Amino acid sequence: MIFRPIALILAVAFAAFSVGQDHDRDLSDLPPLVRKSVLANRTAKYSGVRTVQFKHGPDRVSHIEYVLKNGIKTRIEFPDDSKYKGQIIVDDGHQRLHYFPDRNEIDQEPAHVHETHPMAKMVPDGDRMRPKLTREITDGGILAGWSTQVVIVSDPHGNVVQKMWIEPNSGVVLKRVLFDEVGTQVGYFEFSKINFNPTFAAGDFRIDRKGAVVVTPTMEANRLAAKSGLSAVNVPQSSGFLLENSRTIHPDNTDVLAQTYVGDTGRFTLFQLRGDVNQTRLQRFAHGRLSTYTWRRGGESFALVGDLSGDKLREIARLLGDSSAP
Amino acid sequence: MNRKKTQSELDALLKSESQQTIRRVVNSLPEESLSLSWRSDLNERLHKVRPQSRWRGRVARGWKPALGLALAGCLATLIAIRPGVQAPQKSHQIEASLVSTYTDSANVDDLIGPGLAVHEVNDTTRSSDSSTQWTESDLTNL
Repeated sequence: MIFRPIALILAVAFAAFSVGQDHDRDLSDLPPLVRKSVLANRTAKYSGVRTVQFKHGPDRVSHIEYVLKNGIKTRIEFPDDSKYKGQIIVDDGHQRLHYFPDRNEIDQEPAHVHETHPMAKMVPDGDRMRPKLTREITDGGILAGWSTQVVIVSDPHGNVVQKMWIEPNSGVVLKRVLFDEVGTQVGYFEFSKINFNPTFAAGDFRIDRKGAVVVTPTMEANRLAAKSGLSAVNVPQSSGFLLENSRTIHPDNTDVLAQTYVGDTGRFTLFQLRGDVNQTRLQRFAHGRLSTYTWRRGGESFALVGDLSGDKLREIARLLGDSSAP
Repeated sequence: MNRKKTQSELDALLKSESQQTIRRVVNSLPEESLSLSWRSDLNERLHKVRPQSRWRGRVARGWKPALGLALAGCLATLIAIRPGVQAPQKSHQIEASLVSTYTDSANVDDLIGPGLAVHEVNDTTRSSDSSTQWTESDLTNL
């Protein structure tokens, strides 16, 4: 009987060690400022206002977010003059809830804290396709009233992939800009105000709205599939991946259901449509940076695109009933 | 002999006073180059007065409509087979869209963390229809 508490303690210690290993793996070769920033992503406390802009199809869309962060927990609201006024997003590290007041629904998704720190892309990982990147740190000037250091991340050819302005005392990223392969800015966020001594209220990181319908990603995916006349296909959780979100896109007037899955080893999107998808062309557009896999079943085409290895995608395809997957 | 005589006579005539006077007058005339516009006018006039061949006239009358019909036929054929020609281009759009949809979504997710995601942009009205479409079976899945 005496072994039971000891076993329990050992199990807890091992679990804590494993979690620590997972988050801190291979960070030792990062510069101290960057390492501090990676850790701050899970420990920092602040409230602030940030402008976010990113490419959405051919357009660039931007909006303002009020951000409240307490370690791994985040709450996001929108200004009164925003078209997203009244919407509230809360991510508690386990799940992300997004409340839509006009339709009294709460979209439920897995937490988005996975890999949100930019440096995660610089850490090698077994199944993921990661390019080798280099970084350079210089003075970043003043942002939101705070001195910053800017980290410039480039590919082996010297093409700048992203820039991050970090407040060195807290490690918080105050501004971040992403670039595409030809140096075009594809998205950024920038804090205009930040308070490193925020006051939190008890319910800041909860959404408790009685009467609201909680919409899970699977419900939404199956509803969209039915609307487009497609069969309901979902990757099982046993694969190690969780459905994060789904939406319908309409390239070339074709309804294409896109389901995005995330897991510890990466992310992929499952596309489903009635038309054909050419594997060779799909891989060509992926430029070798992404893996792709396609198959047909029951009059529908399926395509997987992701930053996982090709073997992993084939394994997922097999789970979805593709018997031809080698 | 006769020829030599004629030549000597001609030489004498050319050296005569009257010939020398004419030569001086001609030499004293100002040198003028032909104007290009004048040449152009001349060409146009010549083109107008040129006699039209009967054969060409008949060909023009008979074949011009036929040529027009043939061109119209070609155009119609091109329009008819156009979807077939464009089919590969359409497929290109699908494959390119799949990759760009993934890339945009991954970039934004990576950039903003728990903030407003790419599939939620402009989504203030997405489900004016969806919120009313949940069935009993959907709700029991909660």
